[in-house]
Amino acid sequence: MTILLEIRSLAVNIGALYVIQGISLTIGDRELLFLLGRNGAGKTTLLKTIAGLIRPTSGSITYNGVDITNKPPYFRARLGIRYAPDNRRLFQSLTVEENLAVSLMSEGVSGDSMRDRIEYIYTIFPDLKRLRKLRASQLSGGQQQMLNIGRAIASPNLKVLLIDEPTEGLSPIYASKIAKVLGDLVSENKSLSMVIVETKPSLMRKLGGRFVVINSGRIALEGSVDDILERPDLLSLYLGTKPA
Amino acid sequence: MRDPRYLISYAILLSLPPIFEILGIARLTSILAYSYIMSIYALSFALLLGYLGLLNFGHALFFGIGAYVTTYQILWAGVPYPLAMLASMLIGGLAGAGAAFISRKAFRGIPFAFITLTLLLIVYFLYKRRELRAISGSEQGLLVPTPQMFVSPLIPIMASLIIIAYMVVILIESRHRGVVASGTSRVSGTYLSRNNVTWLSAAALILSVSTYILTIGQMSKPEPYRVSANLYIVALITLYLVHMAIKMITETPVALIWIAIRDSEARAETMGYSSFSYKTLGLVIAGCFASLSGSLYISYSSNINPERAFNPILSIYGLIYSIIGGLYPIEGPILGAILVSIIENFLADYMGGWSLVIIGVAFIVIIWLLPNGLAFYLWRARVGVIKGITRRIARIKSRE
Amino acid sequence: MSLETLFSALVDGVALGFIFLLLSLGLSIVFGLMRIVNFSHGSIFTWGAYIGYEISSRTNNFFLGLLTSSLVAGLIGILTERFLLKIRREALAQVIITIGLMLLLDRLAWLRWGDITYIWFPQWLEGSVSIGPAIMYKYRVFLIVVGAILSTTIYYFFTRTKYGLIIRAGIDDREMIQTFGANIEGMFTLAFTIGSILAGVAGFLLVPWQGVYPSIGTNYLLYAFAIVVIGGIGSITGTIVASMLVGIAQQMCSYYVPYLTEISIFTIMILVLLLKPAGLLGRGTE
Repeated sequence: MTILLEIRSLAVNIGALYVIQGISLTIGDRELLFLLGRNGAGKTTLLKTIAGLIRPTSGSITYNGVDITNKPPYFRARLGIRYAPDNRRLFQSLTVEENLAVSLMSEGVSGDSMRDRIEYIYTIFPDLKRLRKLRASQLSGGQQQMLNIGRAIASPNLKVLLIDEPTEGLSPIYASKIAKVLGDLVSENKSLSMVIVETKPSLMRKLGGRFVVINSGRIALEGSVDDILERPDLLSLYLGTKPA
Repeated sequence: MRDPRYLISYAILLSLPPIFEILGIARLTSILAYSYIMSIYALSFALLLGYLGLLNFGHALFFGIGAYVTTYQILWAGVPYPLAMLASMLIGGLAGAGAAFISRKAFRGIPFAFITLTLLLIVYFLYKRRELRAISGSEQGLLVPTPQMFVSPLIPIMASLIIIAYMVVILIESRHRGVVASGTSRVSGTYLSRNNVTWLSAAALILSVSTYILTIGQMSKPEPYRVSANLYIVALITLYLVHMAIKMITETPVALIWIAIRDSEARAETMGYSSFSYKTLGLVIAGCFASLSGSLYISYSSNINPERAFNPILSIYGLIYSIIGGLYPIEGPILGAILVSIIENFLADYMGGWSLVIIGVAFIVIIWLLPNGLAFYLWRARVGVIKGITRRIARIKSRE
Repeated sequence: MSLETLFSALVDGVALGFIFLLLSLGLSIVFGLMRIVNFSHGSIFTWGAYIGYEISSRTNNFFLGLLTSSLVAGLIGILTERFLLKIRREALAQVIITIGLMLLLDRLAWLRWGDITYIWFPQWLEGSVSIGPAIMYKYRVFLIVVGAILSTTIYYFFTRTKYGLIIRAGIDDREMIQTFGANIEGMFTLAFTIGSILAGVAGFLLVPWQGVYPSIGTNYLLYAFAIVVIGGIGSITGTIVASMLVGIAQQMCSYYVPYLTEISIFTIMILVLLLKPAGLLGRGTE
């Protein structure tokens, strides 16, 4: 398994706050990495820094040997990194279909190949097809999340998917839909890596992989998902929840 | 305020008109008088922008209110000029409160700038309409009889006597404490050093000589000169008072709270400060002083019309003065106003319409190279120069 | 209050509305996408008008004038965005730079052309034409036709083309569009240039009707501010609707109640600012 993303001694200060105080990780090709930790631990910040929305104060991020530490988000997107944020951040005044289209147009995919990809997303999320002419602002929470994920996975060049709390605040129906989609993605796609911020064990149980616990900006614990699932005491300590 | 260098700088400025007269550039007297009036305006604008972070594109509104309200009082109610000025300061302050109330929901950044701009535009266009000619004077404007400002020639004499007395006491104190005085003067609160004392003494000399010329000269000069010299003195003294007042305000805790609100409104609110109240206070003060400058303007140009009083370009000028001169230190806008007014009026004779082009270019160049404004860099340079001189003196001494 | 006058006012209003639209669109998009209030936008309008006037009055060719005014406007736009706005990125600095540019451009125009209002009319558009029972100035009809064509093109650009969609998405969320691969710097330049070209075209189109004088652009900019506020920042449809409204309102007022012309519009602007800051149709962005 080759190493795709390498993060070395990353530190991120936001204002006077030391949000990330020295994190080093590697993410390999076809790897699934869960970022766990309490609220405010730095998980979202780490994800955003990998995506390029936040500049690190020090440290480095390398992708396939290319140093992307200070590169803008669109540079990273061209390399195959996609980001699905926890507050969705859909393009509110655009329709569902336009949201999908623009995510493909931004990297240069247009015309027929774009149409094919949009249809592909529609097969994964049939609801989105039904709602495709509606504005993003008119969708319900669950539908928005489907669009959020759909947008992120639309790219034919997807290599690394960064997802922040994919099932947060969703009703069980939508949560399981999303979980299924992610599971399918993993099994179908031969070269996709994912970094997932999650607070619920259910998704971990379904997908497996590795995990890393972030506490006060540092890595407190790491290991394989199977291991931590057998330790409800650790789960409740680091997630603050009872295992589902 | 207790630093005599301010008093002396103003006193030197006070003695300039006869020097201009001798040099044949008497026009500079009225131009500088205008620039002092605009300095007051600029100070009020910079107070809002520098401390509260509020860009007020409608600032000309306060200026125009000051001008017109004073005019109405003089023309229709026969109120004596100084009283009219005070009254319009009050109205200006009220206007500031009104503007604060209207913009209470959007009291920051661009929305605030647009709201105040729109208020100004409404009044501007309203006043320009022929139907309101009676109260606006339309194009010709309302003619205001030149306010009687009798500046007693005794004033400068008394001022210089006080300053000389001040200086003598400081000199005696410095003698008393040793040749190179150290420590703080009990009288002025300034740190005494050889530099200061020499500087002060030289200044005092220039001052008394020029004041003498000024007062003697006034007796025999023709009307226009005397009028503009009077205006010059009144404007300068008012500027001094406003300058000191604003400087004092910036040294109170209120200014610190303003800065806190400017930097992070949310945090200031959680600390218990009502950002609305403090912003309103700022607007009231700014409104007061801007109105004052408007009512002084009446004596500069005895004719007031909507084009001059409520012109949106005037708000832009507030920004120009503040940025070119710099928002900090508080002397910045004054420097900016004086510089720009000189370029526009005095040098315009040699450059024609290009003066505004130069100002536009200067605007951009300053924000590029000297973003903190001229005063900031000049002040720093001055400190550097003095440090350089003292270091060189010390080096020479150590070699002996 | 005759029907003819009413009709005439409406026609003029719609024609003016299209001019407003061309001018305001650039302002709205640049502010929505780049968060910059471009105070020099009116000056581009002025210079587009002057250059177009100079060329067309010498060559007697309307379209040549149109072409040159768009080129000059676009050039000013690109130079401004690529060089001037890169000097300092803070909000206040950008305001100052655009204001400085406005002063510069307006004053240079005054120095070159003076206070006289210049008007030039293409021969084939002079006079009136009767459509049905109504008699209208040919140029107004022309403006309406051209305006409609341009508006449709613009609408098509923003809803069907790649760059238009990307710009609209960027207005909604400047960061997220980059995470999909869109080069934000390129978008900025594109949006700014398009806005400038439209402003220049608007300026030139107005020459046969209102002429051109040094402060015309900055005067109209005030209206553009009102339109952007009323229609909603960054909202294409909002800008279209608001431009029409303001155009018609302005003409109606100047026909029937001239003293209310500017006041009515700015009163509406301030009411919108206070009651519905997002604009009547837009989404709030402050």
